[in-house]
Amino acid sequence: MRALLTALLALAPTLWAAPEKADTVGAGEFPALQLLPEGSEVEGITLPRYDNHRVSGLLQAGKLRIISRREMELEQLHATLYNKDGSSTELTTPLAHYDFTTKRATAPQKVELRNPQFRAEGARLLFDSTTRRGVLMGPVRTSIFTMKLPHTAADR
Amino acid sequence: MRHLLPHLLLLPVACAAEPAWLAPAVEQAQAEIQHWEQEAQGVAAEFTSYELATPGAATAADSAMPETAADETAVCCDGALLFDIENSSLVYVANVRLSDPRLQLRALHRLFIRLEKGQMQQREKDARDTAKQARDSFSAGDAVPVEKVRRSRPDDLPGDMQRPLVVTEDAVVDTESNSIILSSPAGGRVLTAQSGENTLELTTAPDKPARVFVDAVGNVLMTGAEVRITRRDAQGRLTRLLSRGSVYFSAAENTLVLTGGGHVEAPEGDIRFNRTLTARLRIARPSTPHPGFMQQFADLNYQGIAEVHAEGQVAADWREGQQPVHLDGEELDYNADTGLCTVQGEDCTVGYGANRLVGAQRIELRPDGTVVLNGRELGGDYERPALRGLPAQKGHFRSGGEITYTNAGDHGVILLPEGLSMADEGGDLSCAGPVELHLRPADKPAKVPQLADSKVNLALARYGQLAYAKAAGPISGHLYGADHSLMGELSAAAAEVDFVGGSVSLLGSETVPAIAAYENNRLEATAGKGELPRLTLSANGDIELRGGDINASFSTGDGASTARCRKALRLLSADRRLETESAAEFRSAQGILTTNGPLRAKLSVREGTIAPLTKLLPTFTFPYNGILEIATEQGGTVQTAKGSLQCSGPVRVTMAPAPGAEYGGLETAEANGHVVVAGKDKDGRMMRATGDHLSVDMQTGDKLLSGGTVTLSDAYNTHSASGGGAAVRIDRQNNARISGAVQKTTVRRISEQIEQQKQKKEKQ
Repeated sequence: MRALLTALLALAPTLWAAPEKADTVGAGEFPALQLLPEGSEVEGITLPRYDNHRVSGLLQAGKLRIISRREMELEQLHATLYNKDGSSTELTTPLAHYDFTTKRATAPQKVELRNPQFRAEGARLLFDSTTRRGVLMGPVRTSIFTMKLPHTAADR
Repeated sequence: MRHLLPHLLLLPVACAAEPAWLAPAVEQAQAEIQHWEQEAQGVAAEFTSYELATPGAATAADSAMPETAADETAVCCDGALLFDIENSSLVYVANVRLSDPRLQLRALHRLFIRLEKGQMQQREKDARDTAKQARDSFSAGDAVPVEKVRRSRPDDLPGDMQRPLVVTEDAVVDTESNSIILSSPAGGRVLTAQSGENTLELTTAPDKPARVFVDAVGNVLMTGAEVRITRRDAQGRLTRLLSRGSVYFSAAENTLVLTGGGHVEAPEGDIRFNRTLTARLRIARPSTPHPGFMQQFADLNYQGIAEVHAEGQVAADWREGQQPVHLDGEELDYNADTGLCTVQGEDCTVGYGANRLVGAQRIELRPDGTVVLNGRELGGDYERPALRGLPAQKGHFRSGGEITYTNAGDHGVILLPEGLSMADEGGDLSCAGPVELHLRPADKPAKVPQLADSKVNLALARYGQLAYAKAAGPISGHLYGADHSLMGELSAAAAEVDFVGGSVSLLGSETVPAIAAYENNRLEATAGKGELPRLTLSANGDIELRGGDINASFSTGDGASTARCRKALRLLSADRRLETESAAEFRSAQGILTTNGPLRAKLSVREGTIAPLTKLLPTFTFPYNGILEIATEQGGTVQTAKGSLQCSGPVRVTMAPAPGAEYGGLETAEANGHVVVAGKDKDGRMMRATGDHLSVDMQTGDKLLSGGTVTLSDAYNTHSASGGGAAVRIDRQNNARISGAVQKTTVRRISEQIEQQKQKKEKQ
């Protein structure tokens, strides 16, 4: 059932014309969400995010809820944000809200960011998906792995 | 804009006195600082865009540092983290703590980290491999860095440093460019870094922030109200640096530049300066530098200072033993490779202890211990040990042209080619010609450490007492007592004094006599025909005066005695003998002795311990208190209160040694040749006796005048006697009696004598 729904959602853009292009849930960014009415919930969903027809992220959520035409809520979110240079950043949080209008996500609970360079944990999150910049509210703890720690002579 | 501002920022720290490479280097550093400060301003705008207030600086600076594994850098903060995924930048605000195997950093306000992208590709691949694990379990596990890193070890850190703790308000860690910026705003808290006992402190002022910039190659710029650096070396010795402007370290030049005035306090000495100090350091670097963040400082081995140049009212104290050598000037240069230290300026000063020389235009401390001072008019202060019951004397001296001090191993030599004048309460000395002074170690020499090679040679400080002096030109000197009375005098055209051995040699000229005087003893020689005056006091106590006229006076128990002669007068200590090479005249309380030719006399000596005549010459004593014997071959005269003696032949007089009595009593006396004795009898009549030989019996006081013909005369009559037993006997009261085989009396002025006898009878 879950696989079928995912397939349908993926085909949706080709099946239906968007009724309200100016105020569409996930228009452009998340084409697959255009079919979902307000209040609908989907469990175990994986959503690609597009930015100028390029996949810029992949959202995996235990549950997705369409709150309004401009806002959705994601539980058990694990997001992968792909950077232009090919690297990616993983974002994990129990609960997140996303505003399609401002293209900003907020996470009111514990958040973890992880990429090859660092791992960060914070109490809350504000994230701008356009600038790909965000604020992780404190207390924050970060582990950085790319500070050019010295090699041993044997390593060299 | 970014490139214009650095020029303005440069103004306070760049001036002509600095190395040529400094200005562009500082400009570049300032540009980097400016760039990051603009980035920081953007951070504040970023928070505003999120409708968030920028968290302020933490007030509690003692919260715990995060624990960290050996292969990670852990960062905590109380405020927020602004992250930029595309640009790999992280901005932490409020009480930021960073722990790293190499560093602990506490940024109370903000920490800006830019992560390098060079390893991104490889890390990305590895991250994807671990992503699945993270998705399956929400409780995040530790990420595994791709790059194999080693456990932190002390030798990861520069030289002998321990992991430093840095406390600042703001910091930028740019691992892409491998640079760090630390800063506290104007009026903000002190910026500190501590590694064991090595510390760095940058203070702020209301109008002056504190900043540290470290670039990829190891150049460091530090600016603040004051920059203080303290370092303890492997021997536990502290070095402190203070700059009131900026400190710049050039990795390429291995050179540290301190501007704005400050000081350096090192184990070897201190340097204070008003403008700039440039120090080239000895730093050993690994042949293959470490890759990695801040590894431009890894394995650096600081091995000391190679060269120093300081400008602007420089004052240096080089330490050796307990008395530092002090230098003042406008510029100071020290080269540890050659050991040469120079000070230049209009009024340079060098001194140690209470001794100080001023007015030099150039002072050189050479590696062999030589000190050369040049100046139009040199002068200064000195202190000499207490003498003659006087306290230690502080005085002034002047010279000109050049003064050279040479380290001669066991003593120091000072050369003053243009003369010397010096004066204190104890005395004065002036000399127009070249002067050579030898100094010996002080009585209580300071402990002298062995200075390592290539350090300033401070042999100067080892010697504090005059051992030898040689001078030319008109020389004049005086010694004064505690009541400022004149106690001694010295005059010569040239002099040589051995203060240790106790010898003095004074050479006069045609116009300058040789004079040595102390208390009531005075020796003087003037020039004679073809002979310059010379006065010699030998170490064994001998005294010799040569020249034209020679005058000597001595203090005795009966008052002053004087001696005059020509050519030479010698006092031979071992024989206790006084002799002249010419006619002489001696005057004393007992009478006047005049000889027609050379005289020899034997002197009596005081008993008991004889103190040195002057502490300036501790081995020179004057123990004589009288004459035991006088002899001359060419005759002479003796005048006393009771009479006179004149003869043309040998004279010999002996006196009984009388301990405690000056000029002991007459013991024997003999006179030969044409002998004339004159004196008054008990009636006051002047009597005169002549003969060929005079002897005096000191037991009876009788004088016996004998010869082929003897005479005895008064104002009217002359008795003569000849033949066997011809003699005149004169008793202690000068009653005289003439005897002889043939006698003759010549009577003069008979009527006058008859008249006098009549008057005498009438009175009776």
